[in-house]
Amino acid sequence: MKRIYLLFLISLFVQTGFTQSRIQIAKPGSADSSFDFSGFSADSGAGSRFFSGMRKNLTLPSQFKEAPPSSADFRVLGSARTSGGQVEVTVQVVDRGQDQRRFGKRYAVADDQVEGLARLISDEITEALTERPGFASKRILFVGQRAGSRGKDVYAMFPDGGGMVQLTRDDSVVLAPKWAPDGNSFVYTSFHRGFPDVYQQTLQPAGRRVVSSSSGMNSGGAVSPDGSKIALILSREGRPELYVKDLASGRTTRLTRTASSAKSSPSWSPDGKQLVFVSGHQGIPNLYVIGVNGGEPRRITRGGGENLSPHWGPNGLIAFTRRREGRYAIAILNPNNGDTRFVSPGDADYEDPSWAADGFHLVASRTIRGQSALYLLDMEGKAAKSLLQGQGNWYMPSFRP
Amino acid sequence: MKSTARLSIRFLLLSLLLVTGACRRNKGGEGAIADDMYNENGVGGVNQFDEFDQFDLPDSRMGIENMTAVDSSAYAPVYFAFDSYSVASGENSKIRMVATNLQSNGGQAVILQGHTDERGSREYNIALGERRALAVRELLISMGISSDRIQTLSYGEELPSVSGSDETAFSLNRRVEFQLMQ
Repeated sequence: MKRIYLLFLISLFVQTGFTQSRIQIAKPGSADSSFDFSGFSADSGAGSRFFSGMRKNLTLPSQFKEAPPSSADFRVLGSARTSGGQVEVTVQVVDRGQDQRRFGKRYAVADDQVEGLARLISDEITEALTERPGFASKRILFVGQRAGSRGKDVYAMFPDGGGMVQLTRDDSVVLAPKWAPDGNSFVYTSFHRGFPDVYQQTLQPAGRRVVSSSSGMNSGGAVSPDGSKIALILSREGRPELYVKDLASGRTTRLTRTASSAKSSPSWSPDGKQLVFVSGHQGIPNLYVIGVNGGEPRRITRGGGENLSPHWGPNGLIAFTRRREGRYAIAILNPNNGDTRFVSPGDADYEDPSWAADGFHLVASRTIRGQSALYLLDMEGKAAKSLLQGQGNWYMPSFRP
Repeated sequence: MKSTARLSIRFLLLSLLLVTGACRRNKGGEGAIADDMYNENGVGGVNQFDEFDQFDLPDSRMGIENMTAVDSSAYAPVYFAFDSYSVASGENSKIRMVATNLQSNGGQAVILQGHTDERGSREYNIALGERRALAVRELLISMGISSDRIQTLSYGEELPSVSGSDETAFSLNRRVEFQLMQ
């Protein structure tokens, strides 16, 4: 099976020319692995909550699945039991092929921390086996509109669906919440004072401040990788243009100047030196890249229909929404050579992708018959898994970096 | 501030709009886009677009959100083609009606509410709706309305006028509505 996978990877390289070394494709031999959980025992209380959490999170990444003892690549051994007011957890992961222990740890936590521990251990095991960070502990921000409600707000949850919280009480039009790189604040657009303004909301300590509230439109807020600047789309000079606000000085600099286009959705390159953004010219929104000090934008999408909602990932690749055959689909673009491929199924509209910390998975919204849900995808198009569905519309996700 | 000199070119605007409108209709296909994007700084030719950029928005929203809404149902929305923010000449009379009203009611201001259909991303549609509102704003200015009496407010696709996912609904949702304030 691993040999087949390796062949598949080679064919991908050939097909797409993804040979630039910055791009990390799944490591052969560390991917598409299966777990046997039959050697793990848990008591009926907190222990079983831990076990089901670990099981769910370990099999969320598309390269991991569950298998019977006879065929699994890895055995998950250990126990989780309540003892003296605490939950004691022991976990080992053994590679069946090499009969070698790949992971082993022991923990004791309070009853209400077992879900968090399950995510933490899942991430540690993922990292031990794939040498890439896990995402089970990384919260996803998104816009939610509860069923029966007109207003919208920003919510967050873990990929396993747990820990859902409502972070704003705007009950208004809100758009595009995006994590700051430190994971302790996010920026978003809200109409709660009547006009589209950009806010930054901090989690600890909880607080919110206005980033931009000029005349006209304020939107597209995105914090730079070093946290020192915020990219914005403002119309205060008579056109929606791309600006960068320096947080230390408070100064806002315009980067673009275009006679006739609508611009949106800036996203920073991993090194913070460039921005990708959407610029539409009478019907065809395309992606452009511009240096953080301005200059001439370079168009990076060619052909096809609309190109929207880019997110420049930690792997150097840009995920975005492209209209194809009457549907919106998630595509991945290598900005160095223009290679593009689709990673979402054709069964619905998939939009607004956001890379996970591993640079391999993505979260996106999936819409069918007016209902939006959050789905997990990966860059090989192997998986589309529902993360949050029903009881409202959930869209515009941002994966914590 | 700088607006006095800038407003003196107001009278040029209408003819400029006609010129640029004609140019846009003549352009088609993606080759044309690459050619005229990011190239409006006058390199190698007359820069007719620069004139529009003179009209900065007011420094603030001028407290318009604290004014009282005036019944504006007499003023029909301006409608747009798909993904376009060009005001069709047939829509100009709607804008002129609003301009006439603002000229005879000096205490009034107007919020131009830009909307799109549901296609495209929500974020891009906020920019597209704003672009539509700004296009109407430029025409109001060209009709003699002071720029500090006009605010733009784009909702993108968030507040459709008509529900449904067919071309009829789409065409009714691509609009700029007038909300007079006093």
